[in-house]
Amino acid sequence: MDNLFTYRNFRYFKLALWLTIIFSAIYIWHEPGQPKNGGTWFGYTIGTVAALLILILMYFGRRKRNYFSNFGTVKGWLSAHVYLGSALLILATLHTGFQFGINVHTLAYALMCFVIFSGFYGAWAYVYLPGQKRENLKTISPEEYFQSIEDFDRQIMTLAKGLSEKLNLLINSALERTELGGGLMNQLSLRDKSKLVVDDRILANENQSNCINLLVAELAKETEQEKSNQLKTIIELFGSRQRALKVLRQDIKHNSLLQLWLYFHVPVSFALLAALIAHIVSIFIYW
Amino acid sequence: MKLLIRYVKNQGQGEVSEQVVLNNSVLSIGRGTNQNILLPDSKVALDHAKLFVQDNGCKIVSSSGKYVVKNSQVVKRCSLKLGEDIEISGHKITLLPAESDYDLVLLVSIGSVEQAPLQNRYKLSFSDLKFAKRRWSWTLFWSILSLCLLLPAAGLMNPVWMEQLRQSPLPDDSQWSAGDLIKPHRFIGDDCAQCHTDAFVPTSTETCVSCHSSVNDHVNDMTLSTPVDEIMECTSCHKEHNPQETLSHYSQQICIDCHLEPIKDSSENIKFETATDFELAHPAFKVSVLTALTKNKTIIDWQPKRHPLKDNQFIEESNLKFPHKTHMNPEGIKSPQGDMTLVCADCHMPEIDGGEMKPITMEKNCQNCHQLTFDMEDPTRVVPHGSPSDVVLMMREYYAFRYIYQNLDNKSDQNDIVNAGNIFDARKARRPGREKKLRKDFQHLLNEQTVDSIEKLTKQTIRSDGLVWAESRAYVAATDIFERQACDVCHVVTKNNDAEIPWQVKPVKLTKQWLPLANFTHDAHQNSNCESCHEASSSKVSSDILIPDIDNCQQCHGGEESHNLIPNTCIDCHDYHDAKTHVLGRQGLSQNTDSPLPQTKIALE
Repeated sequence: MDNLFTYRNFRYFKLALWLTIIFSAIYIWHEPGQPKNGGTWFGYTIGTVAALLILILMYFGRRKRNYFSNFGTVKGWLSAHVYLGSALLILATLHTGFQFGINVHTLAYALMCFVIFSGFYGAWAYVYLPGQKRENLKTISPEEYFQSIEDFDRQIMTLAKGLSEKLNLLINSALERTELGGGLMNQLSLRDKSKLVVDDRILANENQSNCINLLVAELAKETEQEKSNQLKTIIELFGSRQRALKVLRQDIKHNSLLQLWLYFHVPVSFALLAALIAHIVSIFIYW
Repeated sequence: MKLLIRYVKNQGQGEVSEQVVLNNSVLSIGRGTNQNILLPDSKVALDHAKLFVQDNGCKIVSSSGKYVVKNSQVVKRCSLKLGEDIEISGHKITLLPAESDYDLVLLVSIGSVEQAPLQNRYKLSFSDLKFAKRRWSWTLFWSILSLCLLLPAAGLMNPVWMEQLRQSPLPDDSQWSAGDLIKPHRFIGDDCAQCHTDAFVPTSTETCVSCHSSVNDHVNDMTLSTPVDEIMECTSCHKEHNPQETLSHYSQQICIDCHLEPIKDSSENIKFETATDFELAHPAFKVSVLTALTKNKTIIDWQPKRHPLKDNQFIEESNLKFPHKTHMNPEGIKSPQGDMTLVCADCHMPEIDGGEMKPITMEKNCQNCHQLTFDMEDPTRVVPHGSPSDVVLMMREYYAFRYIYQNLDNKSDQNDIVNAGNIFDARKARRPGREKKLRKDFQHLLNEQTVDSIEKLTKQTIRSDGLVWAESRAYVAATDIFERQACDVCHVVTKNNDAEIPWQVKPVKLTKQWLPLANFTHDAHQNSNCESCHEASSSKVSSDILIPDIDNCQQCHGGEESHNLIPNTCIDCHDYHDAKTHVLGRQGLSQNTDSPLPQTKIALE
């Protein structure tokens, strides 16, 4: 089965490789009679090729939405997108002749590098993260994790009824103030910002450990057999809840990582398009 | 009032229902067992709310701090019509119409409200963050396009706008500069339009020449076999905005493009042979030797003649006799200060630019040893280093003067050639005072007439005596100096007895610039021994040409690609624009008469 890398027996990999090898060889061989730069005959040639490549690569974003198009398969386009994008990095570098400065030309190059490297990250994420995600979830869907948490919550609440009002409040606040997901940084970090209320004070409850510790302390003080059994069960349930939350947190992070890069890749590629236009037009204004 | 309360709750797969009949018009709702409507849930207060039965409905009032949910709205109190419902912590109470003999039916569904799933409580997915790819894309696109292209391009419409833009903190056209200007062009600053005069038009030669008006063309007024159209623009070779300190990339490829084939002139004579690489393909050196141009056996001008060094036949005819070998004798040569050993630098000093050598002159370089003395008795007396007539004149004057003073000294000179005048002592006769006395003595013996005639005769005799003496001494000395001593040592002296001055010295002209087409500098070769290139110590005659051929250079210098020799490209030795013939403000004047370096004019034929 072809994946995006092996598509049609590495068709686009070979194309990209040959493009790179041929242009690199010409770059090394050619003697323009001036420092190698974008303004020699080779510089103009490879610059044109690179600019066309950028347009083709950007068209992929359009093509993948044309669900009824027969113009190649989306998988083929993606394969070409990845490999030609990698080749572009080398071709555009040859176009610069390794001359960089603080100007619109280097801006275009820097934006292009950013887009390509964010694309590399995306390709890596698409290959590596799904496996990580599966491994984390262990064949259980996130919905099932949520249901099991709800289940634990219900059982904990039932068991908590028999406990003192103070413990009841503690347990209920721990359940109520459990945090998951949230803003971008919260989604990306695995930190648990859960809280709990003890004696009208809001305390951190990272990884539900504060709650468990307090309950364990209560358990040590508890003398009634029945209540200590109850507490033990609650502690066990909090433990299970803690594990499930951890898995979900990791899963949220995986999901965000899979999508986040595209929010840089696409807008910056449009910035690159603008810089590319400015680059080309300005070169010919001041020919 | 008779009320039916029907409890429904899920149990296992199905539902179980339970009915309670009450006879109240006010019902209490809560977790407490004393409540009329019992909701067994810890989230419900013991006494949560009161229900007042009214016409066609009822009214709900919650206890202090509690609330009910109606139509998803949290309310403290509300009225309830038939068919409507409220929620308390997920338990639903619905008011149903009267049925059979009950005034009102209340359906209490325990835990019937599906609590919103846990997922919905949190922002769990990336799409919940509401980042806008499209908006960001267009924002970035238009801001970069405006700042980097549209804004500076607007400045092109009007130089005043551009100036205002450059003064402002906004980005101007300097962001379009592909690299720094070379140092001599930095004065242009940010005024791109000085060179880029028209948008979308390449910088032209006219723009460059507007400042660089004195730069010569490489192929000035030459008809060449190779077309040179493609390199006629300045910008073909000179590329600005490149990161290097020189404007041109001195790759020999530019030169090879034309010099791959021999360059011929209009009459199909080869002017320049193929030269593609200093090490691998470069013609042998040709020296330009100053050669006399004669007319009726008289030298009228000196012109450089090009001659290949490899022939080894060509000699320099400078008319100077100078054996390097004698002068460089390691055991030393005689000098007025005793024996001394000469080194090259005793005579040859480079000019300030290190290219050529300072001219050798008699006064500076030779005279210390080769003094132009002519009289043994007067070893400090020298003749001027000038024309033969000056030398002879000086000698005649000297001897005439000496005759007079010798006689006046009253010292009888036994070796005097002239004795004829000793009728009376002319030396004494010339003394004032004595003359009177002598005259008086003679007057006793001779009559006045006789005395007068004798005196007249004596004076004439003395005069011719002195003349003969001085002339003959001068002639002897001149013959000696021209034919045997000083002059003849270094110069070619010819004799023509018919001439007024019988000796002629052939003019000397030393070649100053041997390789005028190359920029050789001695400064760069200071660490080399002179003799490693110029085999002077074995040269016996001045006609030897001591300029080494290319193979001598090739011991150290290689072609552009050389790895084990100094890599050299064409422009390291050769000027492209023939820059040495700069005119320095002499534009408009004829270069033939005003060239500061007339000897650099080269006859290539």
